[in-house]
Amino acid sequence: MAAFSIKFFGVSEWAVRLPSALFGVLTVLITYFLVKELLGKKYALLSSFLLAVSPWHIQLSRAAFEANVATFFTAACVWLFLKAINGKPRFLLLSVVSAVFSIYTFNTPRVFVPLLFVCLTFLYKQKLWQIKRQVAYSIILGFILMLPLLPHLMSNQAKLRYQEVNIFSDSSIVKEANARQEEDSNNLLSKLLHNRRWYYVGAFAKHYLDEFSGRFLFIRGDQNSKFSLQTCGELWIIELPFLLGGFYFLIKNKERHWKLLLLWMFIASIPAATARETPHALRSEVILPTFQIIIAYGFVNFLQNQKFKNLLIIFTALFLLIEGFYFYHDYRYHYLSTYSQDWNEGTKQIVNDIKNNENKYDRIIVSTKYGRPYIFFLFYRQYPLERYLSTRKYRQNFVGVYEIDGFDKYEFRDIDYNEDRKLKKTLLVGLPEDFSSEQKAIFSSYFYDGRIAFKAVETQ
Amino acid sequence: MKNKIILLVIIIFGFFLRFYQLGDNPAGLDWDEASLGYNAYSILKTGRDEYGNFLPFSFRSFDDYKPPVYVYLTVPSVAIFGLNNFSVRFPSALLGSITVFITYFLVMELAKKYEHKEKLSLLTAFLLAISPWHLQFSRVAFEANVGLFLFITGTLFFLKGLNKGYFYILSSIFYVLSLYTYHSNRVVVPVFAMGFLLYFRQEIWKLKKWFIISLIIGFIGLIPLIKIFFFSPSGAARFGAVSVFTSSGIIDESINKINNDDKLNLPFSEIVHNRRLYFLRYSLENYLDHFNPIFWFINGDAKGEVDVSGRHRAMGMGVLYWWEAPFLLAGIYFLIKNKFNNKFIIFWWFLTAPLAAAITTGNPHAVRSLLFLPIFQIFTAYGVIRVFGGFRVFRGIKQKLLIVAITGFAIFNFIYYLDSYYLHTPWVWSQWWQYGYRQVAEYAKQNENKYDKIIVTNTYDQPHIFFLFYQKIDPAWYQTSEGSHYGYGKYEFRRIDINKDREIKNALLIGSPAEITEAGKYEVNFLDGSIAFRAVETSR
Repeated sequence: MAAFSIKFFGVSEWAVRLPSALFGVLTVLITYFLVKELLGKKYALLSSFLLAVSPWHIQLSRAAFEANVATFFTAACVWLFLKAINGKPRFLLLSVVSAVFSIYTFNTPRVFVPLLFVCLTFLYKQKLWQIKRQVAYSIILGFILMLPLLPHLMSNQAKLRYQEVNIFSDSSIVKEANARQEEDSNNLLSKLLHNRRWYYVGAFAKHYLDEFSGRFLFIRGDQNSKFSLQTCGELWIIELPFLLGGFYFLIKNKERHWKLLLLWMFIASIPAATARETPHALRSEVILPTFQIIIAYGFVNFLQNQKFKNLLIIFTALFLLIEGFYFYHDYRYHYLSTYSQDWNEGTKQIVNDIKNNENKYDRIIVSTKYGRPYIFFLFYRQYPLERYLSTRKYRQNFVGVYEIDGFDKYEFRDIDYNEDRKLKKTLLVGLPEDFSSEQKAIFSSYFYDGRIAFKAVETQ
Repeated sequence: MKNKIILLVIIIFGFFLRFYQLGDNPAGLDWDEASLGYNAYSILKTGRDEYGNFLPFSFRSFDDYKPPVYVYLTVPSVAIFGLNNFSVRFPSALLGSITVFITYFLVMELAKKYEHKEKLSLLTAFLLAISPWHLQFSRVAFEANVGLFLFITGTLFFLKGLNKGYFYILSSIFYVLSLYTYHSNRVVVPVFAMGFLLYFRQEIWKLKKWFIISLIIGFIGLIPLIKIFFFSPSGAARFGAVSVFTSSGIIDESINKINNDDKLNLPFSEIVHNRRLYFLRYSLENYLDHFNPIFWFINGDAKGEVDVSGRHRAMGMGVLYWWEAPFLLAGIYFLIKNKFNNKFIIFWWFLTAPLAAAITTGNPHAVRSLLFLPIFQIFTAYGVIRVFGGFRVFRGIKQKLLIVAITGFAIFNFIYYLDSYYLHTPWVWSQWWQYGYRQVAEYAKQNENKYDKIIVTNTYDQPHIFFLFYQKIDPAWYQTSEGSHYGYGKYEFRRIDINKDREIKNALLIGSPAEITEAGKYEVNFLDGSIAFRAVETSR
């Protein structure tokens, strides 16, 4: 998708982010249709409005995150499924296509989408039986579409990446269980009481519940400053009472598809909860827009038969406006400067400066302390792919990920100034702390708040 | 009659769980417990606290100015049982056991018009009797547990007062006493009572004579507290030390943002980033932390790897049992949905209980939010009755199997708790309970005549109170001596610098293994086998 966007708009940040932003907008649209099928027209507009202004969704739609595109496809998949069982059976094929797209887009749907289809089958087995021909076609289609992905899913690479992040490979859990058993002198009861499976259940439950903690949802958001402003939750504070109310009314009123909505919400965080870093706004993004739908449902039902209906609406809108003001203010004036380092501010500058001076040096060494610099050189210079491929040096690191050590006259590694200063006709590009502070720089680049990001130093 | 027998069995069981091995588990006294005990001993012998203040309304202790009730409750206990771990914990364990009993009547009163009120009350009392949360704090000398007892009793009398006005007086006395018992109550009780008053304004109006009398009594009781809090420099010391309003991190955030706005010439920066807004925000965060199931079921109030939660829970679990989770949810749901007369009070209690903890730092906090009890137990009991009463998941044999499975899992959870509390927790976490101070203080006492000076490390904090406590130092002598937390008599409490201190003639040095690396003349181990204290002699 980014390839299309770049074809039309050239290589730029804007073009890379366009698909995510575009699909973000489309998710808002699809939410409207989804809710119309799910709960009725009454809640559709409000739900999609809430998604449109959701801090969670805004933040992830404004950078090139694959998860955000996957979220569109999962939402579309549910909508099309509902259409299919409500008398338009052909939509089932589209639903499956959409599901497969989301699997090809991001990794959490690989777990989430199969679980979702298990739930859908379980909930709507009678309806599906009525359109069994379409079901059979869809299964075949889904299988064919999945074929190209299967070798990758079975490969070591996929496994290695998962092992790196998942909680079940954490040896401290087994150690703890064994220590407790030993303290009980390893008797039979202790093998049952302190079975490591309980500890795994506990660890999973903790990570799962993290995704629903009030701190994450309403106050601070994701700890990773790329995924949240840090000063704002993933949802608005004013949505809290309506979220609780939404749960209550949904269970009480037993709306037609209430089970689907809740199951969707509760399985969406399962893949994210098997990883060590929780809560994680990106990995659990497929939970959207269930929060907004339930909040909208809660809001509408809460207002019914209320004496001070208008007053409540005004109060809520005002509260939302104030929170929105803070979001805008922080995004515009504080986030940009405080977290520009996370967004590699200064890298574009240094890449261009190096490019202009490239011919003066035989070797150019760039520090890897901010992580994989090579891609920025390729991206901002629109470096010819063939020349890159023919000159690159790479290796596989201990978890099996490829690391690029250099290409052409570029080397990517940590700088040891005492050694590297002896090199001839070399440009060293490192962090300010790689050099002594008196060391004169040929040129430097800066973070938004004025700190030096990169410093380029010439050797004799 | 049958119910009375069941209640009796529950109370005996609760009593047993609170008193069994009370002096030995938790493995040692923590410093607050030791301080409460020694101050009670001091009051008993001299009528004055360790600093020589006559019958104070607020105990200076470690400059944290402890509320007085627990100390005075411990005086008779110390008089009867002597000064030891058991006698200090006795008031908490006794009132904890009585809380189970009171809870039965509280629920009977709350559920007055509910058809299964007997069942609900018995089940709630039983769940409280075996609650890991309540057991944890009933088995240590923590003021919070007495505060909870007084709060529950006060609320019971408040409810009774709605029919018989003279109960208001008792209620007012208990509420006011609870303010003299624990800091949290000073925030929660007024807010809770306000809601209560508004909700029952009509009933109260009918018996306003009694209500006004009890208000006057309550106000008279409050005068000393107001005097302490507003007119003495020390009064708010404790609050200042832990509250969000003085937390430097929050104030810094506000200042940084104001500076940033000013640099960009944005208007109204001081209003936009007013620190009060940040207080509100972080108070809300703290508040929400107390409704996090991870706190309830998984980790207790653990924060990261190293924290004080070793004193706040049994190892490997939260403060509620796993099996209670679905019933807790069901209970809350059905209680909202169904007609239940006093549900407002139950939810109001649920929502106000963590208020005091919310405006302090270090959250969630199992002690500061102890006033949550017995609301969780009421919800769970209601959930159990609803799920196994009217509402059926399955029919026939399946339903019976489900009940058997859940009961089995509940028993399994209970065994897990007992195993963790009595075997693993003291073993692995004895350090959290300052284990070793008793042995080392007694050893020093036996041998003190041999040395001119005894220097004890303060690595494990507050050694002086443990030495005063376990050596039963005469309070009359201590008050008039030069004694303080730096030392008394031959004793000196500070970090040990082994190379320098070795030069001191004829001294006994008692230090941590980090300070004294050679083998000691005498050593005390933590229960997990690692060394707690080493004692070495210097040359004569």
